[in-house]
Parts: sequence; structure tokens; C-alpha cells
Amino acid sequence: MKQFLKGNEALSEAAIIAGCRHYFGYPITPQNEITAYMAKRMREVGGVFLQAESETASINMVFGAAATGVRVMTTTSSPGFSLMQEGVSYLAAAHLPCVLVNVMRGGPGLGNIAGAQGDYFQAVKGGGHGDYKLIVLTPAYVQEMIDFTILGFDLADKYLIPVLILVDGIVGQMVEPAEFPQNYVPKVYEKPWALTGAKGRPKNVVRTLWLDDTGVEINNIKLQQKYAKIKSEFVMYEEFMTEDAEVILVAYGTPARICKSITKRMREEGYKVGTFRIQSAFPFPEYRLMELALQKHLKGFLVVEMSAGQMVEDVRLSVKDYKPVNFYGRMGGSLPEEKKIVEHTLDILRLKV
Amino acid sequence: MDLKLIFEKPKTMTDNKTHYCPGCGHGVIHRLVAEVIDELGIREKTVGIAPVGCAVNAYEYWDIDMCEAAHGRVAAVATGIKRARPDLIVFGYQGDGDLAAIGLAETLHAANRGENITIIFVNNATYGMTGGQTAPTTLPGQITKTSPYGRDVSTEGYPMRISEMIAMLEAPAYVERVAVVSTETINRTKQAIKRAFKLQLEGKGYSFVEVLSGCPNEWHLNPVEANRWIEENMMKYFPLGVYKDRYGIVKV
Amino acid sequence: MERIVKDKVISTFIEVDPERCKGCLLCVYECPEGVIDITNKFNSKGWIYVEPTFNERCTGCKKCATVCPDLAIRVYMGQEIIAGPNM
Repeated sequence: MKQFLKGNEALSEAAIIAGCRHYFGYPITPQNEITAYMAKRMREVGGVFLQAESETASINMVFGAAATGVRVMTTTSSPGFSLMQEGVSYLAAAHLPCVLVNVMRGGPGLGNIAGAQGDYFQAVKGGGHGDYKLIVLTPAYVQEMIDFTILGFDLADKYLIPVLILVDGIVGQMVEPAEFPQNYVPKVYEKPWALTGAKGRPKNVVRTLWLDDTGVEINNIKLQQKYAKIKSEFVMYEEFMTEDAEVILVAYGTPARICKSITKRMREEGYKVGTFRIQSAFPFPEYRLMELALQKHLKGFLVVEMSAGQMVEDVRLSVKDYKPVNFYGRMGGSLPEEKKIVEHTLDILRLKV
Repeated sequence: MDLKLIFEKPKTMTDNKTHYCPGCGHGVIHRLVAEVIDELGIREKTVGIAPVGCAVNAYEYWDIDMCEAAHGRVAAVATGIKRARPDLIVFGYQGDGDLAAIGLAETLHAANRGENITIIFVNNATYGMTGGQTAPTTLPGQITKTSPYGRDVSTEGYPMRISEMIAMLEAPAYVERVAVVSTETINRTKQAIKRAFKLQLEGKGYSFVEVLSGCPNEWHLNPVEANRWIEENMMKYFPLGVYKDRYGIVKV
Repeated sequence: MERIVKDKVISTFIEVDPERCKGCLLCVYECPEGVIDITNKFNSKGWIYVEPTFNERCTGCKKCATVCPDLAIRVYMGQEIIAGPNM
């Protein structure tokens, strides 16, 4: 049954539904609703809530708990996620499952507390050191805050990888109708590698350091093989009126909702516009975008982001030289304007192909 | 003749030969931890957390589940493990940089929360692994790679007395400073580690054992001289003793 | 060393594993009976190691093994009942 739910709180309850009983976090706007919700709710379900002394401590507590095999989560916003990067690199290197959430705000630096999308590079191209990837899910609706969180815990356990929910502060704090799944039973994954006390088995060691000649290379090969497997099995995106579109707007999060509204309105005026909404930033829907680019009737793409242009680079990499990829964005937590998006779209429509 | 081995390797120690320098205190402290785990019969439910420092691969030497931690974050990782699995015995093992410099916040906050864990702090007044730089515990005037003219208290401050700092917090149950420079001090260290693990087994809260230990290589002393240096210099600044024992009668 | 105590012979001695010893000499200085001595022999790692040259002086006090950081020393105690003057 649908209820009015706030993004951040819906995400929190979804984590509980997914079987998460350990939450470590630190207050930071615009996700303080999560720490408050978890502080109350974890006690009700017999779980652990701990407000850590910093984001640095939070991510390392996640490392410890994840190493024992339990479902664990931490949440933060952009400056806090920067502090967590060392821990993220360690979690990825140690093949530890967990769910991380970055409710993005204006940056760089202390920035502001408005929703923004300036952390795409940090999330997808690696904010921490070394060759690693996270599965990155980008919800745009409160319903997706629920669905992607539940999915995230499952993907994390299935692939032994940290899953990042990358969402702008607007979706985090908006209130709209959504519903929780009823009778959801989380799938239980065997974790023979977990630190549970060496009873009846050789000891387990959770590590990311190998000082010999080959250890780190071998671990990296394992990681790359894992990422290749994930890419071949999983990707998420939503296509809205793209079948015969001459211009496709590409976006994720709040800007994608704006693009969908513009798509509807421009279609009513006879323009063939579509929206391609990214739901997984890693793996990125590169193949589908290339397929769309190869369509004869497509004139070009317009990428709309609340940043100086980060995700646009992945669109360009996917589409290569086949069609033009233009960009319109606003930084510092300001909303992209409908007027401007329409102008940029019309520019592309007027191109000769 | 009925021949008995009256001193042998504890079961919880692996057979690996350590990479530590000759005369380094780590070898002794590792053995004491293993002896205590053997004697308390907790090998199958203990998880240790290794630091970044000379003991970074401590997991080669103990036959128990072990976890790595980012530099300074042992106390946070230990918190995560213990909160997820309160039935396990969780201990952290850290040096000066890990515990008192980069990890000071995590160390103090875990102690302040009274996490039911045990932290073993190996204090050798230097950063051994990286070549012997200044540590928060380096003595005034002590020469290191990054204090070639001797630690200058006017610009670098004074050594930190971590046991005293932790003992001042309300939550910790047991705090003692010991050393491994002679048979007597080594035997006392073992008793301290055993008491700490026992308190954790009984769910009695946070325990902390600081062990003064030699770093012959980076002090440019031979092992025997290094232990004498601890007795004549470090012990004056870092007196041995029980700084807190909520469940005992002994106090400094 | 062998001692006669009432109806027993008690024998105590140590063994040093040359491959584990790193020549730190803590045992040499700690032993109250001067049992252990440095040699001029190298093990396979290149360390000069010690030997219990005067093992007959060993009282089985275990101080050497206690201070040894490398578990290079094992301490043995043997006992044998003998016919004595009171039997």
C-alpha cells in the first residue's frame, strides 16, 4: 500500500527490510534523517546503531562488520564520502559486501546543502586509490530509494563488492508516494571467508596487503574478472519515448525527472524527443547507448547534469564519434532550467544528419 | 628418564619465523598473546586486528582469524567486528603511529564508548617500520629520522602518555602499562594481557595494555642496550603500573 | 644440569634452534648461570646464532626462553626415580 515517504527514511527502512542490522554513521546534511531514523529503528529490530566519531571511523567500522559477514551500511554526503575514500578502496580490495550511500550536496569543499551531482567521478572513476570499481545505483524516485537499496544488499552479497547508492539531496529529502515490499525474504549467501572464529576450519584472514611479488597483481586480476562478470550480467536504465526520438536527453536522478517532463511536453508540440535515464552508473549502459546512437533518425544526445559535466564523459565514451553529445548543466546545487534544456534540445533538432 | 618440555611454542603461534629485527619486542609480545589464548582456550573464537607498522603481517604468526585495518583504524574495525559478533573475543594490536597519531581519535572514542574489546599498544617511542621517525611517544631530545637534532618540545610538544589519557575516561575497565625488557617485566606483561582477555570474556568492558618495547635497529642500540635504555629512560617518562582496574583493588 | 633431590634425579637443559636464532644475545645476558654463548657460526638466514655451550649449568629457570623473541629455545626437564639412601 502506498504511503507518503521521505527519500532518506524510505531508504533506511528498506535497508532494515533487506536484513541490515548494523549501521554506523555520522551526521551530515542532507542525510541526517537516516541517522535519526536508524537510531530509533535499529533498537526496535534488535540491530546495532552507532554514531561514530567521524566518517573515517564509520567506514572502518563497516569494514570490520562486513568482514564478519553481516549486512552493514553507512551513509553520508559529499564531504563525508571524501573522508571515506580510503576505507572504500580497502573494502573493494578485500572483496567485502556492504551498502554505502552518498546523498550528494553542492561542492567542492564545504559547498552548500542543496542537492547536486558533483560526485559522479568520485563514485564511478574511483575516489579512492587503486584499480577498483563499485556497483553504483542512481535512484531518482523515493520508490527507487527503496528498491535500489534492497537490490543493493543482494548485489553486494552476490558479487562481494561494495554497492554505492548515489543520489542527489533533492531525492533524499523529497516526500512522495511509495510502498515497501510485503513479505520480502532476503536471500542468504554462504560466506565461508568471513571472520567468525576459526572453529573447525583453517583461519580466515581479511587482507588487502601482499608484500610478495605477485599477491597484489593476483588480487587485481580477481577484481577485474569480477567487474567483467558484473558488466556481463547487470545494468539498469529506463528509456522514455526513445524509440523514434531524434534527440535523446541523458540524465540521472532529479535532472532525469525534469528531462522526462520536458520530453512529454515537447512531444505534445510535435518534437521527437526522448529521455534515457541512467539507473546504474556502474555498470554503465554503454552498449544500449551505442545502439541508440547508430539509429539513423537520431540526431544527437543532450546530457543534463547538476555538475560541470561528469557523466557526459561516459556518454561520449559509449557513443564514440557516431553522434554529437552536447551538455547542459548547473553547478553548486542549482536546478537545470527547463527553458535552457528546451533551447539546447532544439539546437540539436535543427542539425542536419 | 621421563623427559618433559617445560617451555615450548604455544599452539596459537604458527611455525613461521618472524621478520622482526633481532631483539625486537614484538616477538615476545606475540608469544605472550598466543600463550594467553592457549591458556584461556579461546583460539576458535578470537579475532585479532593487525595494524600498519612492523606488525602489519601479524596474521602470519597467530593461528586465529585475523583482519587487516587501514592505518590507525584498528579501534574502529574492532568496534565493527565486536558489534557484529559480540560473542567473539576481539583484540587490536597497534604501534605508536597507528594508535597514538593517525588513530588517536578512533582509539579514544572506542575507549570512551567502553567497547568490550582489548587493545594492546606496543610503545617503542618511534615509527619502526618506516625507518625510525618521531612518534607521539618519542622522548624529549630523542634523535630520530625526523628529529635529527633531537625532539624539540617547543615545536613538537611532549610525549603522550596514552595509558594515563585512557585511564581518565569513565568507561574503560582496565588500563595497565607494562614492559618486555626482562623476565620479570615479561611475566607481568603476560598477566596483564591475560587479565585483559579475561575481562573481555566476562563482558566487563574495554581493556588496554601498553607495552614498552625495544626497537634496537631504529634506536641504533643492540638489543641488550635497548632494553636498558627503556629501563633508564622510557620508564621514567612512562611509569609502569595499573592506571585503572575497575574490578580489582590495585591502583597507581 | 643433573641434581639429586630425595629419591629423584632431576635433569634440566635447553636446546637452541640455530635456524630460529637471530643472535640478539638477550638470552646470553639473561641467563643467571652463563649457559649460553655466542658462536661464530651462521644459519641459513645469515644470522650468527648462540649455543648452550655450558648446558650442564642449566637449572631450567626458563629465563632464556622467556626473553627470546624468536621461540628459538626449548627447555627440558627430566625426572627419574632412583634407589636412594632412604629406600
